[in-house]
Amino acid sequence: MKGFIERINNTHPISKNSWNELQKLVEIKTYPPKYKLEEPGKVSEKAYYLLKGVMRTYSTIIKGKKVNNGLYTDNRYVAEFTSLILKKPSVSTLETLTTCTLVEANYNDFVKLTDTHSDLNIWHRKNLETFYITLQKQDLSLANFNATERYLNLIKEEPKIETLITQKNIAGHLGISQVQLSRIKKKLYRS
Amino acid sequence: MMDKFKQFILGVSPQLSLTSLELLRKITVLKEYKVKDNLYEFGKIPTKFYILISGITKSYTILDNGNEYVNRLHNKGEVMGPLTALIENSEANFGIECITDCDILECIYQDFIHLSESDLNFGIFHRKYLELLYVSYTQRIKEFLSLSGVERYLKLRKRIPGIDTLVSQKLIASHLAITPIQLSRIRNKLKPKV
Repeated sequence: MKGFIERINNTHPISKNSWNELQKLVEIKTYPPKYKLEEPGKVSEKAYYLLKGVMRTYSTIIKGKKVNNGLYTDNRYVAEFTSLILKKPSVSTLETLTTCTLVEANYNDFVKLTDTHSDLNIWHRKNLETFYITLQKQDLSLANFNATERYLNLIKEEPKIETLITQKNIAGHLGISQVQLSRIKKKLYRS
Repeated sequence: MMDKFKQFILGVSPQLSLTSLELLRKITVLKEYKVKDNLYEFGKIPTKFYILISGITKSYTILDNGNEYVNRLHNKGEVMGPLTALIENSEANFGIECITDCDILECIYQDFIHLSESDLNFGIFHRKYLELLYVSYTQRIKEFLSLSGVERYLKLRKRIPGIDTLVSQKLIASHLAITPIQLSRIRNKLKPKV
């Protein structure tokens, strides 16, 4: 829980009363590797904070194309936010890659709490702002870098990624086909 | 004109009271812009965000290779602004330019933050707005990764009817992340065959 408390205080310190209320909603749980926390077709209910471990989300969307939207390591918020917010079935799978320890809460209950406590509302708003900024960077990176550059950026950010997930998923994350990824790697390793 | 403002705000947060709405109205100013006007200076620290009442604008940046990238074509009713720069108090890495003459509501971001942090009604409105923004941005990135140029073009035409007559083909191509030649081929293919 220490990582979670630190994260809250770094974002927007909350009162003792608010923390007590928040604690009533959250639970710490440990899951084995390859455990699916969220699956396509189900309306997502929980939001998570990853204390320790590696997780990923991927989706099979539109014409069977697989898109890997996220890889997460220690101290990250993780959730199927689109499903939580719209209360519509998720299109993604949220899965552990290693043993993961998570703080979890029902998102509806959480939002109700933030809607009645000003400090929690500000804290949650600041989190949403951070999520938005992450998306904007992803958007810009898609436009700004070609597939080779995106591959190199990924390796730089997540050096162990090649051993953690399949080539198919790496290709999905980069928005290219497996054949394209294989060509990119051949070129890189030749030179 | 003000009705569109009300419509937009209540669309996000229907339970916002009329008193709250009036408070928000007090910190916004309606301005008229001409085609090609920029709303703020690219590369400078911005102070405002905007609500588009009428017209069309583009949110754009210049990529490392010198090309322009239009990340959003804004239609009436949308909030616009360099949100990342406003949040981080950093230089704007996106600009907004009017593609047609526009009526735009302006609001100083810090005035809005003050309202949001001092009045929980606004805090809830703000939370909901950011949630919706998150959803639509995620959708756009997914489309970018999973849809073809043709599909992205058809989606854009559905979202902004008449887009082809409103803005240049070059601009549409940039927004779809394809070349103008590719766009022209797509358009030819879509034309009904005689």
